[in-house]
Amino acid sequence: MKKFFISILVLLSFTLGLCPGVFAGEKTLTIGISKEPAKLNPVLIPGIYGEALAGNIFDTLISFKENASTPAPGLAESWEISQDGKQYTFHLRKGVKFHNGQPLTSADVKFTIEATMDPANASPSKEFFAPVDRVEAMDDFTVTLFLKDAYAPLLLALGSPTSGILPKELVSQMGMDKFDSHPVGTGPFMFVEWLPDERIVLKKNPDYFLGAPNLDRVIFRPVPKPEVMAAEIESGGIDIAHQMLPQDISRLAKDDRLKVMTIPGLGNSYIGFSYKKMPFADVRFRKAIYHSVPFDAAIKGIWRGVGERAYSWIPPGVFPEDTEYMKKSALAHDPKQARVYFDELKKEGILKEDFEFPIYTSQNPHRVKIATAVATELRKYGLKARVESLEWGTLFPILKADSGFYIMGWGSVPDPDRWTYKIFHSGSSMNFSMYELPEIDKALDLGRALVGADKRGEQYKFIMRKALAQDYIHIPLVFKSVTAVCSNRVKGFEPSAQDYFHLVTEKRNVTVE
Amino acid sequence: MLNYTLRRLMLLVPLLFFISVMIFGILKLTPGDPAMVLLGNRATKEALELTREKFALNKPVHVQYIKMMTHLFTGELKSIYYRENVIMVVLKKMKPTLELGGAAMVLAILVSIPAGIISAVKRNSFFDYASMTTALFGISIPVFFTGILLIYFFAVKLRLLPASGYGGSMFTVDGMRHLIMPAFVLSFTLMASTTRITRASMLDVIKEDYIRTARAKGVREFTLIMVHAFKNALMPVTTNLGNQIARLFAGAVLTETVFAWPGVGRLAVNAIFRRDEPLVFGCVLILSFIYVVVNLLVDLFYGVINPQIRYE
Repeated sequence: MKKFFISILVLLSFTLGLCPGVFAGEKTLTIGISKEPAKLNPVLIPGIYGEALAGNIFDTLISFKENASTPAPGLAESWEISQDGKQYTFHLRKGVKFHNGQPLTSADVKFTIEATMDPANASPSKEFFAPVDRVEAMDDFTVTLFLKDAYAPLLLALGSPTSGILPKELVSQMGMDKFDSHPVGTGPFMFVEWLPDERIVLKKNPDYFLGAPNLDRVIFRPVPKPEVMAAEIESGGIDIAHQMLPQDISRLAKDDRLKVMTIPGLGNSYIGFSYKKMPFADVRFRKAIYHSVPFDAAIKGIWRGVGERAYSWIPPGVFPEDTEYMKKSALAHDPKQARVYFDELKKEGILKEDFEFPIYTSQNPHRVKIATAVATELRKYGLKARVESLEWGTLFPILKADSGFYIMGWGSVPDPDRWTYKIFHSGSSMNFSMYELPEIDKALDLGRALVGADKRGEQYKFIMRKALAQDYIHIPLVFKSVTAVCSNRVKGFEPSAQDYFHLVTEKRNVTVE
Repeated sequence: MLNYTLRRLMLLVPLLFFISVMIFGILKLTPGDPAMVLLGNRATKEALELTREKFALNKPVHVQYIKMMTHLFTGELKSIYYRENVIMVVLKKMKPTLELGGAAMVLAILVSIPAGIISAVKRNSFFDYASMTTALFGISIPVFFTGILLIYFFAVKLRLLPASGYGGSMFTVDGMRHLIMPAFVLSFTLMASTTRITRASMLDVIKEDYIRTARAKGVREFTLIMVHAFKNALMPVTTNLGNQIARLFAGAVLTETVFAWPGVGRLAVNAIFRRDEPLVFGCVLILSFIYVVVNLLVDLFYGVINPQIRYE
C-alpha cells in the first residue's frame, strides 16, 4: 500500500509540471514557432521568422500592427510628407525609453536608418532605403528623411519590424553582431535569453509607452515538425501554434479547449516559367500548361482551407484591386485546347516528343503536392515532368540560373511595389523567370516614384495584366491564409496577415488566465 | 597496451586530416551559397559580396581550407550563424545530446541484454518469439513514426509527458519528464539490434563443449549462463554497443528533430541547411573525433573482458 501511494505521488509530481504558464505565479505565454529566427537585430533580420518576433522587442516609427495597410503612430506620434514626396518629417513621442533606461531621441532614429543603409552592415533590408539621400535630426524629437526621388512604399518600409529603432549608444559600444544576441529596444517586452533551438525568452517592459503588458513573460519555442506542433497545442505544452498542416487544423478545430483562427494572409504560391528558355519561353507552352491542369480541384484538395484560389498576383484587399479582370482572363481547364497548343509546338519543333524536364520547388508540403499533381497531369500529354523538391540553399542558385519551370511563393507587406518589383523587374534577384520587358521595368519604376494612389494603381494593373493575362509568365495558384491555434486560456490574441506575433498594440494587450 | 594506445592515438592525426579534407571537399561541392542563405532573398549584390568577403568565401578553395584549419586550432573558427566559436557552440549542445544518448544507452542495455539472454536460453519459447518480434519492429519502424505515436499517446491522450522540448538537466523533474520519450524512442532501435546480437552470440556459446562440461560437473544453471556463457558472448555485444555509442551522437538527428531536442544532431543538420560551413566543418570533425576515440576505448575494453587478447 505504501508503495502504491509513493508511486501516485511520483506520478503527480511529474504531471503537475505540465501546465504551461505556471512560472512562479507569473503570467507566461508560450508560443510555438515553426522555425527559429536567424537574427533578432532588426538591421540584420533576413526574413519572416525574425520579423514575427522582433515587433515585441522593438518599435518602429510608424506602426502597422493593427492594420497591415494603414499606418498608425508608433514611436513617431505624427509625420508630414512634402508635396513632391521627397521629404518625410517625423515627430517622435517624448518620454519613450529603451529597455536599458536611455531615452529615445532623433539621434537613435538617424543612427538606425543609417546603419541599415551602411554597406558595412550588409543589411538585408538595405534596398528599402535605397532612395534615401540623407537623414537629419532636426532637434531631439524631430527627424527628417530626404529622398533622392519620391518613393511611395517608404512608410511601409519604416513600419516593417526590420526598421525597429536601435539605441545608438549601446549598439555603438557593442557592435551590430553582439547586439543581435542581446537586443535592446523600446518594445513591450525585454529580451531575457536566447537558447538556440530551445527557446527565446522575453519579460515585460513595465515602462512601455502604450502601458505595461499584461503578460509577465513570453517564451518562443521552436517546434520544427508541424505534427508535433499540433500535439504540443493539444497537450497544453504551448499556448499558441501556427503553420500547421490542414489535417491537424481540422482535428484541432473540434477541440473545445482550443480556438482556431484563420484570416487571409499576405502570401501566394505560383507556377513560374522561363521567359528565355525554350519551350517555356513560348507563350503557347505556358497557356497549354494552364489549360492542361484542373487547378481549381487540385488547389482545393491540396490547400484544404489554408489557402484560396488565386487569379491575380496581389491578394484581394491589397491596393490596386483588379481581381475581377484577372479572374476573367484566367485560363480554364481545357484539355482539348492544351493538346492543340502542344501539337502546334511539336509540329514547329519547339517541343520534342517525350519532352523531359524538372519542376523545381521548395520543401513546402503544399507546393510539393501541387508539383506532383501537375507532373502527373502532364504525363497525359506526353510530357515527362519530374518533381525536384529542394531545400532553399540548393534551390535558390538553381532558380537564379533560369530553371525553366518552377513552383514558388512570394509574400510581402500590402504595397504593390513590394509585391511586384522584386519579381518582375529585369534587374531583380528574385526574377526567376528572367522576365525582361522595358515597358514593365518602366511601369515598376514609375509605380514606386509616383505619389498619387490612382496613378500608381494604373501602373500595377498594367504590370499584372501584361505579365499574367497576356504573357502568362506565371500561373497564380493560391493566396495562403494564416491560421493560428490558441488555447482558451489566451485572451486577446489575433493572428496577423503576415503571421507576426503582435502581443501588445494600441488596442490589444494579450493575456493568459 | 600503452604502446598500442599511443600508436592508435598517433594514427588519429592522419585520419582526422583525411576526414577534414573529405568534409571540406563535400562542403565545397554542395550547391548553395552561404551568403545567400544568410542574408535571405532581399539581399543586394553588394551585401552578398561583403558577406562573402567577411567569411572569406570568395578566396580560392585551398586558402579557405588552410584558413579554416588554422582557425579551428587557434580557436578562432566562428560559426556564420551563431557568430561564436564553433567548438563552444558544439560543446554547449553536447549536454542535451549526452543526456539523451546516455539515457537511451542505459535503457537499451537494461532491457536488451537480459532479453537477449533469456531468448537464447529459452529458445523458441513464447518469450523468445515475443522479444524477437518486438526487435523486428524496433529495427524496421522509423524513429519518426514511433516518436509521433508516443507523443500522441502520452502527451495528447494521457497528458502524462510533455510532447517535445528540453526541460533542462536530466536530474531535475522537468528535465527527466522531457527526456523519457525521446530516450525511449532513440533506445528502441538500439534495443532491437542489441537483443538480437546478444541472443545470437549466446546461442553460439551455449553450444560450446565447455558449457556442456560445466553443466555435467554440476555448475548451477544461473552461474553457468551468467558467468561462463555470457562473459564469452559479450565480445560481439560490446562491438555493437561501441558502434552504437558513437552513432548515438550523430544518429540522434531524427529523434532530436521530432522532439525539438536542442542537441548536436539537430545542430549539424541545421548548420547544413543554413550553409554554415565553419560549423558543419567543426561539428563533423568533433563528431568524428568522438567516434574514433570511442572505438579505441571499445578495442581496449576487449582486453578487459578477454585477457587472452594481446595488443601489439
